[in-house]
Amino acid sequence: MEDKLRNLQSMLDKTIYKDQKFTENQQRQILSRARNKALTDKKKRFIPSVVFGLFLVVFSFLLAQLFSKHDGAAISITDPYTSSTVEQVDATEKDFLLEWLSDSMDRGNHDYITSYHSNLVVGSVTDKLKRGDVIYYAISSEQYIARIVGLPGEKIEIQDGQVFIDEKKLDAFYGKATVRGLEEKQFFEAVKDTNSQNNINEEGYKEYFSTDMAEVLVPENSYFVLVDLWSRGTDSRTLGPIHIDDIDGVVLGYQE
Amino acid sequence: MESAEEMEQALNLIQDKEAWLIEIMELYGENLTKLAYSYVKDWGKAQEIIQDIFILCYEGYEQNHAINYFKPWIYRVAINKCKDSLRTSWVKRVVVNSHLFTSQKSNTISPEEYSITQEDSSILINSVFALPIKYREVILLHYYEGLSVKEIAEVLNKNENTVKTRLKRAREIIKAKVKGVL
Repeated sequence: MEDKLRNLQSMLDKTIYKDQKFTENQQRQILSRARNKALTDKKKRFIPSVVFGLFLVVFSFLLAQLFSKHDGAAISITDPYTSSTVEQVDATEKDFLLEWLSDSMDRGNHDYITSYHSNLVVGSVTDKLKRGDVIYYAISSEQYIARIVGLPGEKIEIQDGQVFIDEKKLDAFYGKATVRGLEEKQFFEAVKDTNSQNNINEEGYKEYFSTDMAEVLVPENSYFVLVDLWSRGTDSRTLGPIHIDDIDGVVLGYQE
Repeated sequence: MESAEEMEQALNLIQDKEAWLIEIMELYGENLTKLAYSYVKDWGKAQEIIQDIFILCYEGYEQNHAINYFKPWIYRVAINKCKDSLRTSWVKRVVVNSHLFTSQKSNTISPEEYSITQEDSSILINSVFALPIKYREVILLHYYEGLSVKEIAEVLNKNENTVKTRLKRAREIIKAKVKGVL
């Protein structure tokens, strides 16, 4: 017995552990995540020195707002096209069906979780991908779904749980940190009058609702994507913008 | 405003930090991923966990790079994280689509699959991976990672006698299984 167990290492390396290397790609991912973190931390540390600057910015902002009252769209980006509820669609021959069990897109109705609904219908990628579309993509043979937030050429930043595009606020249901569809205030109110109050990690949620991410420039032919429940999924925050070649389809809705 | 000197210091720190991160990734990345797999039995998840661990190390660089016994420390942190994730992983991501699946199936072999292709060693491997976690971890730390009983005790924060008993019990279970099959 002991002899056999002594060979366990070589046995495992030849079988289950075969081909499992810690790749350079993974190292790079970790490094870029670490750098991102370091940048945002640095920002926090130097807050006192930028307070005055911020004051100036706010002041000029208010001025600008006064002068451009007739044109409110200048300071925020909206998305009137995308509905926050998932549609029921008929699958055509070109589409394929997907079973999906992650809760990373949950907005309170177990959204996109096919054990609660019918399968997801995924259509082919058109050249007209738009903000708000939910895409199905794969990075190093891991599959993900997430929502397009940033288009090629845009600069995306997250400040205090709010997404900014080219320094304009993204005023859409997916532009803010939410927990199963609830924004910070709603969330804390919802847990206040239930017993769950004692069970939730308030600090953790506060931190989540004030998520920060350093500015990212979306390259040509790439899209910046986010899941709807930021704490439960992987997306461009860690993977970076997704190249169109990695996108396998657009999630159209639940199968009718 | 920062002076040029301060800037340089900050840059040096970042360089040191990154060099250290790269070093520990090279030293422990692969083995930790395999270790994580032995808990969560999912390579994607194992990679995710290990990524988080390294970020954690990097964030705490000031304290962590000075830790004398770094290896047991990082193993312990990783194992705790794996156990946490087992506790919370009630959601599992599954993709069922015939043509996507075939392209993805690739060369990784699951413990279950492997049993069909190989005889002797697969029975052993299967019985190891079928062990309850508290036995599986001591077996893998001892025979795969080559840690001594004392080191395992440190990593798992258990006393040495507990580790010895678990190792003994684990060997008995494996033995019984292997005999039962042959």
